[in-house]
Formats: sequence, C-alpha cells, structure tokens
Amino acid sequence: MSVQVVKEGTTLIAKIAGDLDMVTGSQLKKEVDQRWDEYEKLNCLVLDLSQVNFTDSTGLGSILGRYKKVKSRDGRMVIVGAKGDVKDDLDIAGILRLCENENKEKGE
Amino acid sequence: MTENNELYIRFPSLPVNIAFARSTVAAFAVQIDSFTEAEYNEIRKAVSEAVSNCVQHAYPNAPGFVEISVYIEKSILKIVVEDQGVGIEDIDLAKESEYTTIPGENLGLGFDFMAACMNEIKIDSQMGKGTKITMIKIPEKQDA
Repeated sequence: MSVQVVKEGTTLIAKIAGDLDMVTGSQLKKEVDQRWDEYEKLNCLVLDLSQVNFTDSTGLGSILGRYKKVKSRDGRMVIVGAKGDVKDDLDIAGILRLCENENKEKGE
Repeated sequence: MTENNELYIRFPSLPVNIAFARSTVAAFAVQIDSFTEAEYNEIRKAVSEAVSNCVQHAYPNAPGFVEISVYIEKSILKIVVEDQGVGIEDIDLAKESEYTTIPGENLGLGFDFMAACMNEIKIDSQMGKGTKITMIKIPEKQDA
C-alpha cells in the first residue's frame, strides 16, 4: 500500500498502489492535505487509481474527503484509471458523479 | 463438499491489522472452491468493513481486542467479528444508510457494503459490553 504525490504546476497528482482502506486512506489524506494547504495556487487534484484493486467504505470516504478539501477552494478533482469493482464502488458511493472521470465516454 | 473447518484469530484493534484480517479470512475461505473470484473479493470487503468498524468505534480510549471466528460447514461460510467495546446504542439507526457517528470522512456505508457482500448479516450489541457481527456467505454455484 503506498501513496505517491507529485506537484506539476497547479496540479497535484496522487498515485495510489494496492488496497485503499483506512490505513492508505489516512496516508492519502495526510500527503494530499498538507501540500494542498501549503501551495495555495493548486487548483486541481488528480487521483490515479490504476493500481488500486480493492477499496472499502473507509477508502471511498478518504476519496470523498479529498474532493471536499479541493472543492473548498473551488478546485477540481479528476479520477484516472478506476477499474472493475473499484469503479463500481465509486459509482455506488456517488463519487464518480461528483468528479471528472477520465474513464467517461466523450460527450457524456 | 468442503470438509468442515474453523478458524479463530484475535488481534488488537489497530488499523494496520485490517488488511491482515481480511486477507486471512479470504485465504481461509479458498477451501470452499465453489466461490468465484468476485465472491472472494466480497468476503475481503465485508471483513474489512466489520474490522474497520471495530477499529474506529469499539474502543475510543485505547486499542482493545477484536476476535474473528470463521466456520465452514456444508460449504457455507460463517464469519463472526466480535469486540468487547462500547457497543452500538441504536442498531437500527446504525444500519441506516449513510448514518455515522463520525461525520467528516466517514460515508456511513459500512453495513450497506457488508449486507451487499454477504447473504445474511446479523448485528448483536450491548452498550458497554461489545458488539458481534455474524455474516453468512453461500456460494452461488453449489457443488452437485
């Protein structure tokens, strides 16, 4: 389980590998929130979930928590690479609807 | 038909033990070979939800113990997750979708996900004594 965060201009890219549960979720919160607060010019958070194969409701909660964090400064959150059960769960939890989802078909 | 079997594990309610617990129960369930890959993932998820609940809610002051018993009988999987923590004040309220006692980052969907992953779930709890979650999973594909 690991979270790697990289800043590119005004975008923060968080790549998560492994299972997204309470432990990884709080790592994600710590890594993202600290940088989001520090660099006020950041206006976009990209969550790369292409290497995530499992999530539970606490993991989903940490994603929603980051969305709220980003939204509080009018930023946007983009989810990239969500697949299989993870994508289904994001959908069920209503998170896909909220964020820009790079897996969406054009014109949707 | 899978031979009857059982497992018992006991560990402190530390976040780092959630992953270990879900993997252990799923690994034990492998002997019921009529479960599909998707069903094993559901087992992992349901256990993750139940143990996460213990970690977040059962022992507010210091970690306490979580006990998981798993039974295989007639190729049916029964998982019992138990703690001796604070208990749930109102079980019906707790089961309500999106209800949580820790708003903010908690979705309150733990019991919903558990119910979606298992054939049956039962919640027993007593304030100050603890909580017991019993879950049953029956393979879709029954052996002849």
